[in-house]
Amino acid sequence: MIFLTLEKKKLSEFLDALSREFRLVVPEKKGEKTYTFSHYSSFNKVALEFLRTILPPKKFFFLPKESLFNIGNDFNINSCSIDNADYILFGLHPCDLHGIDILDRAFSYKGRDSFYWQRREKIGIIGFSCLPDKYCLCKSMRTDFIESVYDIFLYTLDNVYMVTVRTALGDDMVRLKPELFKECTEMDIAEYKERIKIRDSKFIRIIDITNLAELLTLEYKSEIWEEYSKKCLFCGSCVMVCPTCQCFDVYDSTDMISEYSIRWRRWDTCMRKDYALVAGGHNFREGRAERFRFRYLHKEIGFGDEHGKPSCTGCGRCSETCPAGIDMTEVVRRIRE
Amino acid sequence: MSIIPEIATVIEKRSLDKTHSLFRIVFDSEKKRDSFTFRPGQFIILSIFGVGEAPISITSSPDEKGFIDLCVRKIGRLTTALHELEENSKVGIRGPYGNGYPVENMEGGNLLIVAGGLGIAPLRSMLRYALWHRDKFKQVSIAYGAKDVESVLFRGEMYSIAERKDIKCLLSVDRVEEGTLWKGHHVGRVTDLLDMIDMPLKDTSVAVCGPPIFYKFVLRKLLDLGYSKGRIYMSLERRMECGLGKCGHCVVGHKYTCIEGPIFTYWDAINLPEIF
Repeated sequence: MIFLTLEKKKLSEFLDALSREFRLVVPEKKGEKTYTFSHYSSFNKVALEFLRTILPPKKFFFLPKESLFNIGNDFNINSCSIDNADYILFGLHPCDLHGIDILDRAFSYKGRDSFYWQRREKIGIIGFSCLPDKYCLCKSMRTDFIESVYDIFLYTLDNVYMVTVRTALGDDMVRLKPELFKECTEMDIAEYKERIKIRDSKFIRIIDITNLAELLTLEYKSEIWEEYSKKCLFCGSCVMVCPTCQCFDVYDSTDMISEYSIRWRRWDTCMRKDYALVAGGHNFREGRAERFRFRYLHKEIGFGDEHGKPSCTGCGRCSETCPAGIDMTEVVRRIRE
Repeated sequence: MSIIPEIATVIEKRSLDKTHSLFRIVFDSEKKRDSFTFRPGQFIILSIFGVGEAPISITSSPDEKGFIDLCVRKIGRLTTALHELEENSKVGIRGPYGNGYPVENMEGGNLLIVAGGLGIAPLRSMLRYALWHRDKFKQVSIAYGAKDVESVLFRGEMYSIAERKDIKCLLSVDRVEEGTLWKGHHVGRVTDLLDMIDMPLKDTSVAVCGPPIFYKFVLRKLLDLGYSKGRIYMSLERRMECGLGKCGHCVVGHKYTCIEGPIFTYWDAINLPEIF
């Protein structure tokens, strides 16, 4: 690990240099209050004050829809070519880095998913510090810091970014423009410590996740699930924006013109009524309350045993996106009360 | 383990009754044909290109080399398309998936197989395995129930197994249509057969598979008889799309049925949230 500093006004030079060597992805402002991860075009479009993008960065390595192979009348299976450009994702906050960590675990659990890893391994990551808003729950979820996943992390100080170089790829990035970086001074370290305290004090919502797995299991039959499931529209927005939701649907398509059929996979949601439906009509999770509860249990207990930690990163996207105004913190608080 | 299937050919299609057929499938690649092995209770994912995929348990025994047999009910989109295929049609196969029966733990003891309806499909693999390796098991019994005589799948095979002296094979149907031959076999519930089978409780593994209502009564009966929850093996049906513990569809509680199952002991199954 190397600690350096980068003058804020030099960030544009650094990103320009990166964009010449890599396919660079940065946060950009889209609507009035919305941001997306987009391909870098110029520095003045990069949004540095953003908190969360509409979709998490998973869309670059776990594609919303991707073809797995196609097959023609000759029954030769043609694997679909995967874009093998080297990507750098810039501007990922700790919650999104934790999200990638969870997905990495999920897509390696008892066997690696080659489609995921072929892309994931080509991606370098630059983390970026942030200050919380009313939806941010990372402190509560213990995901407000991370010491893995990223190659470089930029921590915003007054005039400079404190740059943590964690990997050899991160070092390669820095060495594209070594003249931009300086040694970290004692002043910088002091300021960094001060910044952490300030950030800590800015969290508006705190939930207590101590023994939450146990409480959720105890409240398995709670009326709360029924109550919220009446409010929920089952639109699946919370799943689409979730940095750790990994479900997908596998299906084929054909058309009248080409002589191929294509096998696809696309993001799916456990909120969907026929998600657990089997042939013959038996539905293992038909009820609204059961589906609502299932997602909560998955996020908050998650695959704790399997992946070593719950799947919620506290990014706040689900609460911000929900058209019915269901707030994860409120559900968790109700369960605890 | 790949999500990309291997091309295979349906070399034989045999109708078992109005809605069930047996499909014999051979991999086109000789290498795959030779290397493909599986355990009783495992399943494959079958592709009909342009239609999609479905998980189907293997009904042949691992000892029968060179092909796999699938016993399939015409019930969904893919299985209907499968029934419409002519012999020698091409399909895709990937797998085998799932844990299968823990045969190493079952060997050396007694084996009781309890099947209801199409539940015979995965259990027939276990049954044929036990018959093939008969000396590895002490007593072997099977209780198989169906709704009527016509619906007893693999009827001829079951009749001849019932003739054997080294296995107790009891068959039962809910009702016998007039003019149907069902001599010497039981009319009633499959649970009645369990009273007629005198298997010791000690060292007996019980493999159970059937529709939900069947499980309900059979499990209750097995517990009444005193079998251990840890030695009763259920095969859970779920919507398995990827078979690789990734897509999420088959999750029960937080266990992927496709990799942690589909075979669960009754004890492990009742400890899964949302199982019943």
